[in-house]
Amino acid sequence: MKRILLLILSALSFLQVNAQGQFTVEVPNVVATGERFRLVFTATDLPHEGFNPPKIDGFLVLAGPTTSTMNRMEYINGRRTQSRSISYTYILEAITTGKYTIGEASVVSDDVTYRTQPMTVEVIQRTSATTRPEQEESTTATTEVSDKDVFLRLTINKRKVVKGEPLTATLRLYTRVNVAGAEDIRFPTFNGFWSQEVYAPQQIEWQRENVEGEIYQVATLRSYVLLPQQTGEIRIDPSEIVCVIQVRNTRRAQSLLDEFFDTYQTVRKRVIAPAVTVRVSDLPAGAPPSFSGAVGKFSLRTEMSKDSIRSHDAVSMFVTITGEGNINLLEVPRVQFPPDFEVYDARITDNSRSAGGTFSGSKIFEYPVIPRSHGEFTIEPVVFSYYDIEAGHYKTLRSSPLTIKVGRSPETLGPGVPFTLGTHRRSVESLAQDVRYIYVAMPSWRTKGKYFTGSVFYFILLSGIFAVTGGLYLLLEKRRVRRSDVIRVRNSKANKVARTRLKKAGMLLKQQLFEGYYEELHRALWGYIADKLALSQADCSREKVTEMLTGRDVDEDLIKDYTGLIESCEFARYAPDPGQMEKERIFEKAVTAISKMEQALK
Amino acid sequence: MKRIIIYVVFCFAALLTARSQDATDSLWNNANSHYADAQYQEALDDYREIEQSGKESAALYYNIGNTYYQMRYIAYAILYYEKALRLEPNNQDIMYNLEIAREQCTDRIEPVPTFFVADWIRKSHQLMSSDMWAIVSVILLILALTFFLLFLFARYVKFRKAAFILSVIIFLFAGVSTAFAWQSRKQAIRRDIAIVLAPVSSVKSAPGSQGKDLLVIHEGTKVRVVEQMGEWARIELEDGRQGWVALNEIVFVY
Repeated sequence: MKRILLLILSALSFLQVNAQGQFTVEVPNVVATGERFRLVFTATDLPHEGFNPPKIDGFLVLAGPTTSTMNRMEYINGRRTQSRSISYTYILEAITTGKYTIGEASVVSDDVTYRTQPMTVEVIQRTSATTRPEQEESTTATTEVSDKDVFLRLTINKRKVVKGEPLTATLRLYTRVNVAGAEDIRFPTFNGFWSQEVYAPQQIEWQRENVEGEIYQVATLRSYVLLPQQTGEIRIDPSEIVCVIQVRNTRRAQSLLDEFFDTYQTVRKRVIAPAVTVRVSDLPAGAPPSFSGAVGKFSLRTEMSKDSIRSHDAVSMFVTITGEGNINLLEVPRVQFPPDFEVYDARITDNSRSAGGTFSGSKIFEYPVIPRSHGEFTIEPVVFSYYDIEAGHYKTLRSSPLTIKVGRSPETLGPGVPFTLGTHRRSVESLAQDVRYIYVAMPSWRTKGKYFTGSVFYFILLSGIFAVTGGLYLLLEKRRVRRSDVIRVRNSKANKVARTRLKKAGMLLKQQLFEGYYEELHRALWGYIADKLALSQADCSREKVTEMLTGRDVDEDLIKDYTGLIESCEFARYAPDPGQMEKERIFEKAVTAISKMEQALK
Repeated sequence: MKRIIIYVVFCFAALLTARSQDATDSLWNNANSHYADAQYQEALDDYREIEQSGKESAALYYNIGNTYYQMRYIAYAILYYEKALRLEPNNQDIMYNLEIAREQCTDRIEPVPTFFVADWIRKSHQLMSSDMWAIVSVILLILALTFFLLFLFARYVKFRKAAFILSVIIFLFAGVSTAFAWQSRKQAIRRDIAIVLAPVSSVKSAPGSQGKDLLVIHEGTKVRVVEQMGEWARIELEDGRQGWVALNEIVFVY
């Protein structure tokens, strides 16, 4: 059988002693009129002289301050701790309803003044139903325990939240009867929430509270911080507890002894905290791309463990997110390292605590990286977005870019270090695949569906080419025919012309006009060969003639004779007279050469 | 009077074409800067406006394909890369991007292997666009005819021999490039290639919804339309399997 709840008298709670000296006050916060209660000031580990009593208004001081001293010593693992506390106790009685303040009391220890907080006590009208466990003259002693006597409530601090916004749920037990213990506790399950217990006492502390004009003993059983993970109306299922209640027996006393000693009966009562619904609305649209569910209020800081290192050495980058909200659920922010950095999984240190119904603190993400090449690198700013509940919109934090200098690693430096070629070479790694970039240069536009091939222009062009070629052919052919006619005429007339010239030369020889004679002879020889070979005057040279005659398979001796004759004609024109005989011999030779050439060029 | 009117009309037409040219150029530049700023929808709108004006170029289709790719419309990206390839069949950038887009498609279809000679011929006529082949063939034809004239009229025998041989060879090349020009044109205007744009499309054994489902193909798959019947098209996958799909699930590449 589980017995978690234990009732401890509030007056004994000063047993919880702290190591450091402190000065505390203890008083119930709600009392009924005519009720007597204690006001206790406790100085723990504070050696002092004198006690400055508080100002007490609106209460009747029945007794006090009475001083009591307590010494405590304990050994834990062979270590002795000792504490000494002095308490000053008043017994007060409430007279009239209202709110009264008990002023501060103070003690001076080692020239330091310790003060208590002023306490407010509410005094309410005493009703017939107002019962207290410790009250002797209880009139409503009954074995029946009504739903009003003991009940369980789950309270949440916000009914309307956005997804990810923290809220607190507190499970409280309210009672006016003597609850001795509890069994069979079913704590709420928070489906649709991420939940964390933030208060789960081993020992129950009772507090008095005014609930609709009645004094109840209230105990906080559990307190949770909830982070909604779904949207919509989320129902928190009822929680249950079975209370073990001690009720005074009302039956008439059986014996005389019973008259003196109260008899108690144990009653078990199941109390249920009603279900609670929370309306969780989704976060508004328009979340920035870097948003990953953070809700609250945060700040961002980034730093490197070292600013300059050598390549292949490890270095860490720290991203610290501080603030309040669902900080414990933050995802690892994306950090864009330069491509040649080897990045390992981030180590996460969560320093967040739950406080005041939310989580606050910091979360540190450590990214261990190893730069593989040297140079100066810039790590892109870390972008972190969150939804600010108070402002009602998204906020994006952007860290400043970090630079890191990576020097050459020692093994590629020093002259004494053996350096093997090629060991540092690696294949170039493909990081990602993407389409190639668009063309930016102005393209040559064309009309859709129109092709040059097969177009009218194409056919016109083709027929044009053929037409031009045909025309050229006709033109050239005509010219060729004409030219070949000229050649044929010259060819056929060559002999005749030569003979005429020779005849003329013969006449000149007879007339003793030697200069004219040689000239005519020379012309006859040249003219003949030029006509035969269809050479123009300009093309005429001995080399050309020799070449062309060789090309037409004329006997070499004949060519030599012929060209020799031409040469001697040229010489003779300017040379002294060689005599009549010689002149006639040349004439004869020319006639034979021409007739021989006529034969050869047939 | 008549002459003046004709002149005015002519000037106006010239001005109009010049202005539309300017509009196209500024649309092109706008679209490119939108793309650079990752405003893909705006870039796409501008590119599409150019396309709808009846102008085209491989670069335009390539850029549209890229824009669709960035917007994760892979099937549309493939459609436009295919269009771009039709205009410039040997463009390495288009081929690379098309390959990347294809890798993100669901369907992987092994094409039926073709005879290697046919492959060579296909590859060689894809070296240039139809228009380029036509221009090459015209130039070659002019050269060949020139050499032929030289052969006919050159004075020297050696010269004539060389001219004859060259003329015959160039004639051959001119003939081949003319054939390629026509073949490329045929490929570029063929209207039987389509891309599946519906996310999932079932290939049925008969036109009409009562046909049995033969295959399921996904967006981005290239098909050849063998015949059309009403709202249905008989398609053939690259691996030779055939069936009927609804016409509204595919888009032709032309």
